[in-house]
Amino acid sequence: MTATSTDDALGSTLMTLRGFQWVYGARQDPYALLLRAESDDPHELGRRVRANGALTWSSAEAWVTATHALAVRLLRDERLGLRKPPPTDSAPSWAMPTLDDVLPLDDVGLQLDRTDCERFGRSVAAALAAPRLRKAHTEITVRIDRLAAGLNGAFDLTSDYAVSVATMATSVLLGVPAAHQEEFARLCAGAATALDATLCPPRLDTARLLLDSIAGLRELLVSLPTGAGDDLLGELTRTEPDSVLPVALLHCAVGADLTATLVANTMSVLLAEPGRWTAVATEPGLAAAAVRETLRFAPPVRLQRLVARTDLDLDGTAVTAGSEVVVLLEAANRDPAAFADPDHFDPGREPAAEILWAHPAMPAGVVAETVRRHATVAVSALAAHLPTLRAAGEGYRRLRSPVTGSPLSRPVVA
Amino acid sequence: MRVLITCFAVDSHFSGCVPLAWALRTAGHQVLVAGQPALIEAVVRAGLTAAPVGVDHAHDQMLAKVGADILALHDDRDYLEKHHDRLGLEFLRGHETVMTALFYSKVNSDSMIDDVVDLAYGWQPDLVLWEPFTFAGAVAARVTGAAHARLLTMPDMFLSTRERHLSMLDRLPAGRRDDVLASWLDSTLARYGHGFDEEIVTGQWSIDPMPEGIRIDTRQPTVPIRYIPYNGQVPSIVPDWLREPPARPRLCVTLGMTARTSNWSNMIAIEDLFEVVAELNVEVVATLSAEEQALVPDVPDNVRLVEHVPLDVLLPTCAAVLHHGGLGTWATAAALGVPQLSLGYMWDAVYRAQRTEALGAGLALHSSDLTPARLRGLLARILDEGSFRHRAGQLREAMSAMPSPNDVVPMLEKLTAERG
Repeated sequence: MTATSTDDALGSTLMTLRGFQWVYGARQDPYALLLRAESDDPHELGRRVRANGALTWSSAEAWVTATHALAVRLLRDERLGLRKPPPTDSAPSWAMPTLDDVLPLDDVGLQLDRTDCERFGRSVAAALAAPRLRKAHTEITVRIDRLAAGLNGAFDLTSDYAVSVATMATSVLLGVPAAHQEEFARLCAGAATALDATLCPPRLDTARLLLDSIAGLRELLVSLPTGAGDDLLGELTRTEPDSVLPVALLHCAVGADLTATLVANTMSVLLAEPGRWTAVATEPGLAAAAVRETLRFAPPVRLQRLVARTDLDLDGTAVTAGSEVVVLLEAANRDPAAFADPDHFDPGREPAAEILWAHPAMPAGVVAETVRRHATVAVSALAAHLPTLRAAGEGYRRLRSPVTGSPLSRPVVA
Repeated sequence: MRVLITCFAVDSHFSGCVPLAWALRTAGHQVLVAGQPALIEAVVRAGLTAAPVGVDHAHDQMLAKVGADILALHDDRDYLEKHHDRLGLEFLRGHETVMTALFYSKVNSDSMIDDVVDLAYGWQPDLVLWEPFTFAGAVAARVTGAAHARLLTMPDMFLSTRERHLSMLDRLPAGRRDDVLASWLDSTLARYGHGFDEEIVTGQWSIDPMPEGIRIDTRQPTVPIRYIPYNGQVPSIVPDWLREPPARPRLCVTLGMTARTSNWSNMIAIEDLFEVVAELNVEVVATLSAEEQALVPDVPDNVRLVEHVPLDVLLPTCAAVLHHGGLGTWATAAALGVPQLSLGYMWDAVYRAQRTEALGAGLALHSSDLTPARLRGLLARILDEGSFRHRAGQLREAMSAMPSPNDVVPMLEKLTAERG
C-alpha cells in the first residue's frame, strides 16, 4: 500500500500534536494530564484544577475551570463559541497546524453555532414527544428488551450490549432501512471517536477511519428516502427541515457513542458496589434516576472546549480572542459548592444544581434527550432480565479518549 | 563494499562513527556519510565523504520550547538508573510518544528520509550503518535491500526500554495498544511500499563500543568494537604547555562540547566547580568556550583555562577528570584509564556514571546533587584513593581488549555477505 502525501501530512501533524500534548503534562499540570488520558485519576485532577482557582491557565495552552458556578456561566456565555476565529495577521506563519486545521469536524456538526444547537435541540425534543414517533419508540424498547433477554453467562457489557443497543436504537429512530443497518452500525463505530478528536489528536488509522466513516454516513443519510417516515428525520423534515442532516450526523457520530458510554458508565457504577444493582433490579423504575445521577457522577462528556470569540474579561481575567476555554464538566459536577457529598453516588439525590454534560448550546445538547432516553431503556431492560448481573474483572477504555472516556470493554457475568 | 553511514546533524553523535568509517576506508571499502546540511562540515573535517540529505532539522528550536519538559518527563530514577523492568506502561508510552513525535520524526523528517532512500537507490550500498536514532538508514536499507546495522555510541537505553514496552504491549488488548514508534515508521515505509517490523529499530545487528559492565545486553546480535577517541569536533592541536609534565597532580575539568552548541544545558554552575578546585593542591586544566569563560569572574590561580585541547593527549597527564557526563568525554577517560568524577542528569549519563562507580573506576554525582561540599569530598577521594586509578586501568584494559575497528571490518564483510 502506498500512502498519499495528504496522509503523511495528517499523520505527522497528529503525531506531533499528541507529542506536545503528552509532554505538557511533564510538570503535572492537571488539565494536560486529563488530555493525556492515561492512568491519572480524573477526579483528583479535577480537584487540583479547582484548588488552583476558578479559572486557571494550563500548560496545555487553555484556560480551564472545574468550578461549577463559573462552568455554568461559561457554557451560557454567548461570547464563547465552538469555532476558532479566522487567523489574524499577527498569527505567526510558522505556527503548527492545530487539530481543527487537520481534522475539521464541521461535517458532523461539532462546530455548529450555539443558536443552531439550541434550535436543533428543541426540535429534537419536540419530535421525540410527537405522537407519530410512538411506534418507533416502541420498536426501540421492544428490540432493546429482546437484546437484554438474549444475554446470559459471561459477556461484555460494552461490545455485546451497549454498542448494539445504541446503534440499533439510533438507526430505528432515524429511520435507517433494515437493509442498511449493518453498514450503518459499522460507520457509527468508525465515527465514534469524533468528540474525543475535538481535543485529543487520534492515531492516524483512527483519524482515517473517522473521516471515512463521516463521509460514509453523510452519503448514506443523504441517500435515505427521508421526509415521509414516522421517525425523527421524517418529523424534522416537517418541522425544521434545515436541521435534518446535522441532527442525523450528530446522532450517528456523537449520539450513538454517548448512549453506549452512558449505558456502560451507569452499569459500571451500579455494579461497583453491592446493593446498588439489586435496588434497580428490584424496582426497574429506578433506572431513570440511576442514569440521571450517572450523568452527574460519571458523565459521557467530561470536557467541553469553548473558544473566545472576542477579547473578553472573565471575572477579572483577560482572555484574548481565539483562546481556548475548557470547562471540566465531570469535575464541575463534583464541585462540593454545587452538590453535597459530590463523590457519593446517590440516585435519590434531588440535584441542587445543573448537571453538566451536554449543554443545550453545545452539539452534544442536540442529542442529549435521545441519549438519556435510550440509555434509560437499556438499563431498565437489563434490570428486568438480569437481576443477578455482576462485574467480572477489569474493563478498559478507548485510547486517547479524554472527552468521553468511552469504555471499550466491561466484562460481566449474568 | 559500499558502506553508507547515516547520522542526524548533531556532531557528538557523528564523532562515534568516525573511527570505524576510516577503518572501512583503509580496508579498501567505499564509505559515504549522509546527514543534514548542518552535519556536512563535521564530516568533511573528519576527512570523510559527505552526502547532504534533507534540510536542517529544527531540533534546537524544538528543544528551546519543550526540551526542559522532555527531560522532566524522563526524570525517573528507574529510567535513568536502568531499572527498566520496573518501568510502567505509561512511562514507556510517554517516552516513545514524545521521542517519536518531537525527536525521531524531526531528525528523520520525510524529506530527509526521501533523500537517503534516493541516495541509496542511486549509490546501491551493500551495508548501511546508522546512528541509532537515524532510522532513515534502516528505512533506506530495507527499501534497497542492503544489509543494515546500528552503530551504537552509548549504552543501549533505547532498545532496553523498547523491549520492555513491547513486552507490555503484547499483554494489552488490541484496543489499548498505542505503538507510536511503529506507527510512524510503518507509515514512513508505506511510502515506498514496505511495512514495519522490529528489525527497523533493532537493525540486523548492532556494533557496540560499550565494555562489559557498562554495556546493556538487549539479546540482539551484537558486534563489540573498541572505542577509539576522536577529537575532531575541536581543532585537535597540542598546545606547547602540554609538552611539559605537570608539577602537581593535574585535574581536568570539562563540560564537553554539546552544551556549547545546543539547547541541552549541563545544568552545572562553573563558579561552584572553581570554588572547590581553588582549594586543592592540584593543577587544573579547564576546557571552557569563550562564552563560558566570559561568565566566570574569578579564575583561581591554579586553573588554566583553555577553549580546546585534544582530550586524548591531555587526559594521560591527569590524575583525574571531572566532567559533565557526556559520552565522548566519559569514553575517552575510560579508554585511557583515567579516574573520572561524572556529573550528569539525563539520558544514559546517570547510568554510565553509576556503573563506572560500581566498577571502581570513578565516582558519580547527579548534577542536581552538586554542592561545593559534596564535590569537595568526592574530588578528595578520587585524587587520593589509589584504587580508582587501579580500577580505571582495569577498565582501560577491558576496552583495549575489545576488537579494534580494523578487526571489526572483516566481521562486517562477513555479516553483510550473509545478508546479501
